[in-house]
Amino acid sequence: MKKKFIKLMAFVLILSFVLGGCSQNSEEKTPVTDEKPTQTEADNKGEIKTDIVIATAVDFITMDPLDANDTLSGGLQRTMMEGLFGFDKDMKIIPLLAESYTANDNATEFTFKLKQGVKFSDGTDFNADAAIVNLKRMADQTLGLKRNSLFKMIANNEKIDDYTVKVTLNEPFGAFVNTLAHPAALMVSPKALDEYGKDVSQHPVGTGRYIFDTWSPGEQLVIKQNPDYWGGASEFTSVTFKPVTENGTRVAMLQSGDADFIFPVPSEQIASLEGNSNITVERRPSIVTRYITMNTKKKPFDDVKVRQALNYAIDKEAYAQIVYNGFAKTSSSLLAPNVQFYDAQKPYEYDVEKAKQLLAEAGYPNGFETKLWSSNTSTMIKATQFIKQQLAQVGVTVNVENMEVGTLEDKVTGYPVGTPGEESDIEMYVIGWSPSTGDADWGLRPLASTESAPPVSYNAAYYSNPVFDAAIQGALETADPDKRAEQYKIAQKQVWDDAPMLYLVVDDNTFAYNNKIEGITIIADGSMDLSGGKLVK
Amino acid sequence: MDKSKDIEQKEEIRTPFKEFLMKFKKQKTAIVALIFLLLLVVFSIIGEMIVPYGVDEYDYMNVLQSPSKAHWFGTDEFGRDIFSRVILGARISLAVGLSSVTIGAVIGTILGLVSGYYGGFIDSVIMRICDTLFAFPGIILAIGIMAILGPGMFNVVISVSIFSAPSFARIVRSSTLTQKESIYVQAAKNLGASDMRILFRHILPGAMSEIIVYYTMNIGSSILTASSLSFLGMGAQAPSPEWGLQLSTGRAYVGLNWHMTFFPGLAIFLTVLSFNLLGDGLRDALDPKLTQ
Repeated sequence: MKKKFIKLMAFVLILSFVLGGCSQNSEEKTPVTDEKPTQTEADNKGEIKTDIVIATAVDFITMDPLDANDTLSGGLQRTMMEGLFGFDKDMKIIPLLAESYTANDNATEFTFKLKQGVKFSDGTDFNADAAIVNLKRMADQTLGLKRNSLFKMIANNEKIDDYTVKVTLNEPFGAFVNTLAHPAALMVSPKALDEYGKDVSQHPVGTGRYIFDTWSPGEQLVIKQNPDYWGGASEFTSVTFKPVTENGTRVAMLQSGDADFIFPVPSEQIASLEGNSNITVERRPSIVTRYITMNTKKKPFDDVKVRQALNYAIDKEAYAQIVYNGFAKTSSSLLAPNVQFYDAQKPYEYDVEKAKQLLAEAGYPNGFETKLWSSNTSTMIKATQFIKQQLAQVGVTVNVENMEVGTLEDKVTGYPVGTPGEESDIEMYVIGWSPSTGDADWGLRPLASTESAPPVSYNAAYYSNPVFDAAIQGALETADPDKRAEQYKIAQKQVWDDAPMLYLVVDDNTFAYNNKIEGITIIADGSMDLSGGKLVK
Repeated sequence: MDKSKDIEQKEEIRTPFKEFLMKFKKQKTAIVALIFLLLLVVFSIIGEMIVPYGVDEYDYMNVLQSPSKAHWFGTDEFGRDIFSRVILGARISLAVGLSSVTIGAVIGTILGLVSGYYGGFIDSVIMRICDTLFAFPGIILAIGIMAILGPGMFNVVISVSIFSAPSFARIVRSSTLTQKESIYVQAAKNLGASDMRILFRHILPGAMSEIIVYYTMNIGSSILTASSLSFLGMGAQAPSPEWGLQLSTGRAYVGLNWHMTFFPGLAIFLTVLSFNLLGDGLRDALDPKLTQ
């Protein structure tokens, strides 16, 4: 074991020598300082480094925006491609390739004015035609890509003039602009779509600040500066992303200078990085909400009192402390506070007596036995042990099953559409959700509406409530923010009081970087934002 | 040592066991190792009665404490006492080490006896299977078997026994081959003894000293393999106090909380070392070639 770790460290060391050599070579070819760099000077004086390395926890899945359902791939795609809308650091919607929009009252027609003078990095113009090609691709349900269903309401796209597009929806959808800010709605060059077809996932071309360079899955992905970017070229000439799953290695890479930015920082090791004056650690609230679903169609979870009892039985403050080392806040709604239309609910305060009393009222004075599924990451193993111990206090025996992510996904969603909750094997399931549209609809509908039961979406509690469903629908039928807010208030209260989930915490995003750079940040949905990235001179 | 005295004594009380005891007493390091292992056995039996805290005694007010008077080895991420958990983990490691090697030894010995005694086709088949298993590095084979069986301590035992059996088969086979030609085996045969009787009454006792030495040495490496599998997430599952698992969870904290990995690691190190030293001592005491 120890030997293994040493071997790993040795391997990283060798790798860093090799890669260090590589980056020096490229610097020689493109000198960035005015002084004539002699070999020794370049080595000793630390010339300004414009090629930066970012280490991430997992590998990227695909570079096709429409086919990615992981946050990391989405964030990376945003560096190379842009959508009509995007998010700023606080998850507020900002126009990118669109200048402005107008919508009709019942949220079925949206007209977008596009930005002029923007080119894709392969030279193709961005205009109404390009936008329509992309909108059609999003709406085309026959493609079977992972995110097509997000855009199934698009009925028709009409070119008004070269820089104006009118989109008609087949049903009212008030959250449409938010949906267009989702990474799945990034605009890909029509020429690249033509040329590569499905393989666009390996050859992304967009209008972004960076251009795709090379990708060897499992090793690294390199993007380089787009000198013609409409917002001005980036300061970094290239950015290399490396997936480094081992937490300790990622931290060691930052300490040794092999990586300039790491995300996420394992919360156990934040304290050890904070003492280092060359490194800055930052923490920002995320929109990732953590909860445990309880199969409401199965005994004993069909009784709302049991579900509420379990909500009272867990000390969420301690959960945040123990599992996330304090880098999380307790949940106060199914939505995280940074999500649009969030409305705070009355928390389920930790109260063992109340939990026992509710269980007794529901007919389980001596508790019951159940099983809890989760992935097998070290954080989740810690989390499940904590939950097991807490629920044991109220007499509930929890059998923990930590599974590999693929297996887990299969067990949760591996049923034909329409399978009732009674027939699913699932009982309790710890999971998190990050609504990448930043909007209440995507934070509530996939998790708790009747239509979203697995495998369609992620309502693993098989929760079904007419009041909730009506509120979600009602909010979609208008583009008026006040009316939508009212409906989402109803929905959040309903799902909170019915407790189909055991509400836990909202994560903090933690990231750390070398003080030679600044401005790179992790936005609330957990995706990386390189737009403000600068060198510290 | 005075040689003539030695001979005199031997002539008085010359049972093989007494002779062994006498030689073993001279192996000081092996005796220290044996005492340590006996201590572990005691811990495994009455562990709960002597540890200051329970194995699952959570204390969220005192997480990640450094070693102190209250917690000799410090506390882990749930505030559990690491000293108690290391003591209670001894049972798991010993049980896995002993049971897997015992199963492996029984299977291997029988195969070795049959293979060496009957020879021919059976011998070829058994030895080729052993060769195949030998071709894999031990831990890789164990990981492969675990991948098929799924995680869990019981499967670790199966997997470790499977890869320790071939070594026993080889050792016993070579010993069987030599003894088969010996006069006492030939005599037994001529007197009409059955194959079973010859194998288990005459040949097996002759191979016993080698089996014992190899058995002891193998327990150490089996404990190491079992811990490695737990470390990799394939053996014991949380909240078990298995040492490899403790090491694995402590790894995330190694920068600031060294005690989480140090003490379980030390426990594994000392146990494996003790088994190896004991094995060395036994070999020196049992091997007739060394004294002649």
